[in-house]
Amino acid sequence: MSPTQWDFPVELCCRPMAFVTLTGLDVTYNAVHRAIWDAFCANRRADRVPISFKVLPGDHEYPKCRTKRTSYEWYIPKGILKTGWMNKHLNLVPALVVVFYELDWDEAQWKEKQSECATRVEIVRQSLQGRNTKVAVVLIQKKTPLPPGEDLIASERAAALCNACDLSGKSLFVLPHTDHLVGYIIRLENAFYEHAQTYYYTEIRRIKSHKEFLNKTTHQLLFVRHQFKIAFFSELKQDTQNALKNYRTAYNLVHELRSHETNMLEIKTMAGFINYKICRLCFQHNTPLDAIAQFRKHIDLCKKKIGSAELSFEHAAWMSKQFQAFGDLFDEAIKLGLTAIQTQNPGFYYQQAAYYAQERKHLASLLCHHDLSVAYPSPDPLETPNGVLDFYGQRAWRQGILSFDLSDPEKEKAGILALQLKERDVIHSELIISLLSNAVAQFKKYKCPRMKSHLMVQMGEEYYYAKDYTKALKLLDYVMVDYRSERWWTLLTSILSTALKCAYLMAQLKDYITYSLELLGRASTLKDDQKSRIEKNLIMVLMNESPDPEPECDASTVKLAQRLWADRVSLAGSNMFTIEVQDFVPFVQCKAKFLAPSFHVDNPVELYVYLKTDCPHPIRFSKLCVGFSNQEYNQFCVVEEQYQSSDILQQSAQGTMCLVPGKTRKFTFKFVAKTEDVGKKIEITSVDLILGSETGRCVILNWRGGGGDAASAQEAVQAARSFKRRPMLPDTEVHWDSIIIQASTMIISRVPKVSVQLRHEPPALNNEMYCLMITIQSQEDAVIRDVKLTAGLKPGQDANLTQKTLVTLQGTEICDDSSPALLTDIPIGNLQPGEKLDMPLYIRCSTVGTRVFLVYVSYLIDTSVDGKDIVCRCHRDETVTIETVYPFDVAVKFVSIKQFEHLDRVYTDIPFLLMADILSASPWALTILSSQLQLSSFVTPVDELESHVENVVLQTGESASECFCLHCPPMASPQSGVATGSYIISWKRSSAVDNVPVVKTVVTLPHVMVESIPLHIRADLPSFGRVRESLPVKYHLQNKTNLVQDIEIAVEPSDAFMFSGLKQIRLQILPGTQQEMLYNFYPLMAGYQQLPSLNINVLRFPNFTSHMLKRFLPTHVFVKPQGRRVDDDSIEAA
Amino acid sequence: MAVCVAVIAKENYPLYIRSIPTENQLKFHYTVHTSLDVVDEKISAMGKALVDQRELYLGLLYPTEDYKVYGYVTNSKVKFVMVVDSSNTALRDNEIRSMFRKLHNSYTDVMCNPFYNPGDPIQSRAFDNTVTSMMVAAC
Amino acid sequence: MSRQTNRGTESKKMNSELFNLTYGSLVAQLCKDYENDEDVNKQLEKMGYNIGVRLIEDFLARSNVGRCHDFRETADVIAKVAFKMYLGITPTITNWSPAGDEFSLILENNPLVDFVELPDNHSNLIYSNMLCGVLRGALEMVQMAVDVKFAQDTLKGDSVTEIRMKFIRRIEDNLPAGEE
Repeated sequence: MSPTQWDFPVELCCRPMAFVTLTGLDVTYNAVHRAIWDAFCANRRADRVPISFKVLPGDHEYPKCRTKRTSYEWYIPKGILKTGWMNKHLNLVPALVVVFYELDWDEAQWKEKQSECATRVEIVRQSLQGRNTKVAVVLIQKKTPLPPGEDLIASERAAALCNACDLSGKSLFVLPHTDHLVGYIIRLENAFYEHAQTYYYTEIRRIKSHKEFLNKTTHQLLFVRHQFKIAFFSELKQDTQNALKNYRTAYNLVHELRSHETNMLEIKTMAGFINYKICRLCFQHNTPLDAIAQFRKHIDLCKKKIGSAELSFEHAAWMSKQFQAFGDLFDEAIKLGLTAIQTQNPGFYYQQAAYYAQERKHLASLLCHHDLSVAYPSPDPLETPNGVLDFYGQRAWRQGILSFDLSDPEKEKAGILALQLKERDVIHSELIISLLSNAVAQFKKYKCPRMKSHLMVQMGEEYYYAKDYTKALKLLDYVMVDYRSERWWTLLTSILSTALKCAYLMAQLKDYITYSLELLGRASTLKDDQKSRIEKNLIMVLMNESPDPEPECDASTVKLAQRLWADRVSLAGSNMFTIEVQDFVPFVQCKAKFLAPSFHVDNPVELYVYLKTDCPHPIRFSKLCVGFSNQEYNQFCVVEEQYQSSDILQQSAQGTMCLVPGKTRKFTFKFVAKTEDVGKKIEITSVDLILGSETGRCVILNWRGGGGDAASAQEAVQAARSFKRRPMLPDTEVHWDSIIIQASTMIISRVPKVSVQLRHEPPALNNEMYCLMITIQSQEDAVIRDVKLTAGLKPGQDANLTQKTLVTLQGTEICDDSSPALLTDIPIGNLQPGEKLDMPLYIRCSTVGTRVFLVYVSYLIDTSVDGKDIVCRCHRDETVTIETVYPFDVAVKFVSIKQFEHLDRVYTDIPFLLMADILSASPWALTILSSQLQLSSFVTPVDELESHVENVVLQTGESASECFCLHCPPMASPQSGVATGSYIISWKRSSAVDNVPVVKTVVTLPHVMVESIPLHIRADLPSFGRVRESLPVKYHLQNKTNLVQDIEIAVEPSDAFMFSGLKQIRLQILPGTQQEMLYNFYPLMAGYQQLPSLNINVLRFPNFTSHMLKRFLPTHVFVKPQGRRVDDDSIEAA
Repeated sequence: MAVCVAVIAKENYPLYIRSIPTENQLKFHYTVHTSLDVVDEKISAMGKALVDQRELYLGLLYPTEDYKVYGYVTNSKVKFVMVVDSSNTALRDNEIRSMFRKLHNSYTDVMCNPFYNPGDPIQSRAFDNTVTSMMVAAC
Repeated sequence: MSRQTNRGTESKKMNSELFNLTYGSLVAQLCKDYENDEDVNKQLEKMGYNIGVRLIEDFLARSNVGRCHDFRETADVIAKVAFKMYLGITPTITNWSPAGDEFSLILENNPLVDFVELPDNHSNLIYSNMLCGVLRGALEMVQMAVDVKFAQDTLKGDSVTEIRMKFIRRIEDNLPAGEE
């Protein structure tokens, strides 16, 4: 966009930098000069001094300096600030002029060169006459200079040159163009910068010095002007603090000016400029709050300074610009690192700028609606002699006139007219939209979605005014979603109304219909008469006619639109639109429901589709169809009604497809599910309701799933809570709120008419072939076919169970690991009605625990639903939980032969007993067929091993025991604990028939500790003695070693016995032999008496004590009393 | 005093909006709706602090050229928004606060009306009167 | 003993919002369940009656008032003791009929309706009709047949609430037939 009257001049907006001109450089043809210039220009980053350089010829004419005023007494200023002033000091009047001159210290023709240089300096000085601009000379030299003081010629010639050019030594520089050019240049420019600062300092002093000559009555304008200039020069000097201070003063002074309609614009223009500078500097000083405060003050002060009422649009334009400029400054500061917040960001300023732009447009439309016959005044009152204004903010036709009285009202009128006519040509919408879109970008950034939406609505409306309906719709469509989802119906309705206008004006059929649908709906806050109008239009559109224009559209656009509609009508043909209504709130609501969450395949599937309209008039639809996940069912759920297109709104029409507002209409559908769909879900994927006829225009309202729309979910919640009384309805009708969408149903198999009974005798015993008797009986009226049985471990249990469970139909022998855990689809064939079938299933569980078994019977049957023959697969399943237990508790222990003491260790070659106790844990009687001992090589039986429990029947809790005499032969290598083998019990249930296989339960025998002993002793004595009768006892001592053993034996006397034999003896036993010792004990007392004990000392094995040996010997013997003879006889006789 | 008073449901849809009849209603609907951005932000930013201090008053939400928009949120996350003329500088923060409290009390009474269905638009004469008193009271 | 101490004349405090909402949701549910307001009014009166016939026992135990000698005394007890005890208000008694068999209870503030605003479609609803039932039921237990109805209601825009009570007859202790 080209700059307009309201845009700030670039010289105001730029950052002022010291202006330095470089002369004597030929940058086009001289490579050295070019390099120097490049070094000045290139890489001007922030660390370089802020100077704006310009290359000018040596004889450049600088702007002439007016002769300085000596007195202000008679001077009356004509305005505040000349339009050229800022530019002059930024770009025309330098602070420093640098004369470049190629001259080496050892130059042969020094004199000539020196004077040429002096001439050049003089030319520059001439041109700058009257100004304080500094002049400096830079000698471009080929050689690197020597350190100062060392080159005597150099210092001498330098002094001479300074003298010749009337320069101070500080203004003469040497620039050797060597490798380090950039370094030299940077040093040079730093020096230039100092000179420039001095220049601006002097300028400020000069202006300040004027102050004392000014008086408050005639020089008010000058106060502002001078203050502004001081501030501006301070900026050039990079003294921003003082610049800010002076701008602030200037700002206050502007507002002290006497204002009148005639100079209002000038005051506002200057106030705007100064405010801009202040805000800019505040942001630069990182005091954004100061900037905001200043801006607010500025706006508050100027808001009411409207000026000429006939040009009030100018004020709005000016206000808009103020906000926009501040927004730009704010945004710029943010880009440089300032953080803004949600409630204080540039967006608000752009928004306000847009607001004033709208205001401007509004005012312009009020003030500038001149008749086309009104001609632009001639001569052009806005024309000025030199094409620009002398002072900022003045009127072209009365520049420099300070009087508040209008000297020439005619001229004034012409001027105003000219401005108004110019304003009429401004494309306001563009301005507004661009400001709004700036604001949108900001609010997006600061998490203000609703503010953003609101601005987008405004943009959309502005596009609408600008007649760019496509863009308008795009924006409005976008925000509708948000307002709908937040349920701000008033706002939604307002947007929809605008959108409908756009759609009308473009004759966009589908959009027109879509917006109408929602504007007629229950979320629309339109009054009934409006709805009625829209409904009628909608019907007209459907009848292939042009709708009536929307209200508030201007006549010319309507005319265009009517032509477009007429074209559409003549082109009528395939005018079918599908509109997805789910996501908005259309005037017709739909809810579909299956009557049940599941249907048996032999029952017809039933569903209802409920429809209700909210529009003002009854309306007729032509067709209703339901779509399913399995599309084959679609054909069964269609209602169609033929009618004349003119009947669509017939009040009297009472056809099934005519919906009366507020009344719920129910449509019933029924179909037979396919047998393939058993076990599957049938879903309603869509409901299509068709409005209009397929021959004319036709709209398909499409609901995904079982209906509902953007508002229905919340309505359902509210309705559930409501205490509102519902009117009584006849039984055939329902309350809309109470209908719950049920968009899917399961097709389940026909209820089986077959019984599955299971008989068995739990618990199962570990490892047995457990019989589960399955009885299948058909209760169908017809033959059932393809009966199949699946039986076994129910899948989905502990994976280990699968390994440890085997099932088979063969119960005659123990099955092996090849049997599965589950037998599937065992064919059974057909069953006649009432026929019964027994199937035994044998289960072998090799671990105890709980298992769930499944018995599943499936079959085919022919049947009919609703007169349609179908083949159904039915199935029945039963599960049973079976516990498996151990049949017995088997306890095995080792005991000594004498005294049956429990042994934790046995001795080589010395016999011991193995005792096996079998305790029945089964609730059922068990028959032990045999038992068997399988011994390891470490143990051998003492005599023949035979089972003592053969054919023993054990009831619950009964036990059987048997005993085996064993010994351990000497081992080749000594081992402490050895495996002894296993014990195998062969058994079956006592109740089992003969062909039931025998179960073998294997019990692993415990390990035993085997030790060898050096000496073994054994006593032979009768089983009892009698008082005063001799009791012979023979002790056998056996040497178990390969050594000759010396043994001491002593018999300890006992009170109960006298005895004969060796009381104390020491003897030797040869290896492997045994020695016998005979004693005659003579019992003295009756009863269970302690025998005299034998103390044996094996001298070679001192650790092997008699105590250890004693365990092989009996300690007591029973002594009978001395009976009478008679008794004796009688006893013996007995 | 107030030029617009609004009650906004927890789900951010309007339960009640009334503005002075002399001005464009739609404009206030937008003003209230956009102010919810700031309410949301305030609730989420200092949500915890608010609950701790039981401070329901959210203060000035944002100023526009012509209006000041204030907010208040109940513990049930129902929001009250009040729009006040910017030129009305005499209105102190404390007064706004007490107006909100009055509004909150009146709203609670509405909720206690057995015939009012929570979540429905508020159509209560008593509440209307409270709002009216805030809109006409001379200031 | 404990029973007597529990039934002092001092009443236990109860939250009035909860009381209001309890009564209110009862009425609202009736409104939803019944086809028209007249049925609701009837139902409220019936419920009140059932309360009244029980509450009188509590009232007599608590208040210790003796037998009333005339209808004026009954009116006083109802207004100054019963209303005070159960609703915390004391209605004024006015508008006696010349025959002294009919009077009005004027309730400045009906505590049942603190938050209530009647929806427009319930113009025939007598929201507090339960009170009528309570009074009728209670008096019936002390051998007084009365007719009680609302004459004015603040919910309907009247400035006060007025309950009109009319004495009909004394109820004799009828013995069951055949047991004379």
